[in-house]
Amino acid sequence: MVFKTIIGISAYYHDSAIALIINGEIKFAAQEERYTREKNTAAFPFNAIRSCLEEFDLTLAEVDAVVFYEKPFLKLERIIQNFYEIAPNGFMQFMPFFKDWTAKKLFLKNEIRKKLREIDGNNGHLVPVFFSSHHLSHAASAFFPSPFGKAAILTLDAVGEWATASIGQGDQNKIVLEKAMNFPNSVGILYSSFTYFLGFSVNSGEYKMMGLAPLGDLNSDQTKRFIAIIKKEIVTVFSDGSIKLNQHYFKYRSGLKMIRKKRWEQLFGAKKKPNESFNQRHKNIALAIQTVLEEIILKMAITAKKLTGSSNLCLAGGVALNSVATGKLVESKIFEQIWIQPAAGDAGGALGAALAFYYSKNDRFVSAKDKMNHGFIGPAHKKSEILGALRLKKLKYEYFDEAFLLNQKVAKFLAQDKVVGWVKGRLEFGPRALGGRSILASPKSKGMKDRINRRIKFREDFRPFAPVMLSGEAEKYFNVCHDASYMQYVHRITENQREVGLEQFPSVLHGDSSARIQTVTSNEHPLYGILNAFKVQTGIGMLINTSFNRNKEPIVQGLESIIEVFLMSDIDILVIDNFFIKK
Amino acid sequence: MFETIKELFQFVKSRKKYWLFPIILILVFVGVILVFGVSTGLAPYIYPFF
Repeated sequence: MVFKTIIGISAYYHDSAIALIINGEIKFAAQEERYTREKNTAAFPFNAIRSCLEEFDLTLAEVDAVVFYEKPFLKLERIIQNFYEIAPNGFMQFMPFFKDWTAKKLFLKNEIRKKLREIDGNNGHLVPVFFSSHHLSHAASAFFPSPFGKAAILTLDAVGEWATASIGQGDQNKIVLEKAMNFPNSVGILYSSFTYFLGFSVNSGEYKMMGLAPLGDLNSDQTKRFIAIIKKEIVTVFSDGSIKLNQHYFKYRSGLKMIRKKRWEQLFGAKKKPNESFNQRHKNIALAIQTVLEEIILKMAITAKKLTGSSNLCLAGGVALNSVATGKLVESKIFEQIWIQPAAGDAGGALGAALAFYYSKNDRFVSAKDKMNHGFIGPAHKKSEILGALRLKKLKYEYFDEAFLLNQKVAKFLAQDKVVGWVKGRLEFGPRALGGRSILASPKSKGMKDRINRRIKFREDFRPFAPVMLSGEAEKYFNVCHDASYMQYVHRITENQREVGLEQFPSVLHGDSSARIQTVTSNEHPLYGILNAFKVQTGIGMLINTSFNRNKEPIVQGLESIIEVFLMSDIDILVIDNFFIKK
Repeated sequence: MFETIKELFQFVKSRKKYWLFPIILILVFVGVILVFGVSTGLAPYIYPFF
């Protein structure tokens, strides 16, 4: 049988998503949360599949295989073995697991077929369903779309089936995972435990803790003491980067919480309370675990280099979204080139599962550019739909035939400190807004960070904003010459440009003068024109680029939610493709 | 149902963890009985490792 049209699915845990591959080309990928408005939804991706089939005028009869991003039986083996090892503890956790697995996850193939049948009748029921392993899916999502023919691969997350991290090698259409670290030892779980201790939500607040860390004081005795305590009591870090978590301090194997709170409080002081504001101790704890995480990742990277001898590295898994750590990894120069899957979390697993399956049966052709189309592989809006939505809401608009003129107009308003909701072309895949569904603002205004945090995003004051910039600016101010088009690396401003930066773009520099940089080089990128127009107006080709959403909501996609966020927040201007709307 | 049990058996055989098979069968059997009786009120507090 020929396998050319493949759908990959991730679902039932968090970050449900789908991806469509046709003849090895990534045609479509989207997260279900963008349709349902439930952040990190675990629901079966009905809407994403329907949207994909509609976009490409496909029926499920034309799909050769559906591939799920992990292996349920292998996961079940790990879960049963875990309960067996800790029995009689864990009973309370065992009961809900029991219901979930017996009702759905144990019979996953049937469950998927049932859902596909609801979408497309018998066509859905007859599609062959396959399974890829969790870390192979991550590895495939990182290696196959990359511009490398050969590369080392490092995957890091909380847990898949057994593996929590793996090191492998990609060579053309083959991936071999050579080394794995298994549950219960996990870098993701370690980081998430601190996320929980500092009062953030596990599985969604990790990036907030990463944003808190630079506000800690690395030179303080308290931070140094916390680092020492973490490495002495909480985790043993081995020379190859593997770790052993001291289960005396954790509860995730047997309880309903991540950690044994009282034992942690004896080490680090009181757990942060929900309404308590962040004090210096909290910031120092965040910095301490961030520092330990960076040490682990660098050691794993060195091991990957030794094992493979490759000068290229591909990264994926939720921990690969830690852009402070990946920034350090780039600066370490352990590898000459690094490529990270922009949807590095479990959503990207859908893409990886489809790619792993496709390339197990087909050859691969490597190109100089990666295969992610700058991340814009989701659904787009038709002109007629936009017109209909604007008329329905009785919004006055201007339509520009020439994008150049629209960019000039928007840049003028940005230079006057207006905030712009920016919706262009196809939706980006992954957690970060890359210019398809973004909020743009001038980085020059000192009060802009507070304004967007308080009146548009409704989120914590300390949260920084990332700059998007022309590649020349990245080189000039941050000495960044590598590809940073997916906003995956944090770098500090160079010492000789620090004063200029604080004067010219204060709202994108974090407490330690660092920024999570996105560079734009291609004139096909939806932000290329507006960055150039802003440069003409102000002398600097840089903007704040933050996701178009409110706190705790997914990035907007449907026209109704786009217009609602625009109208209900302090955004001044809305651009949808070539439509311009001003409040 | 039978396809899944067959695949489970093949999986257990390939992993050489035969002790898993009776546990899984009991899980399926007891789970079907309990499936409508257990509250899911605890689920939101659990990190989805399971």
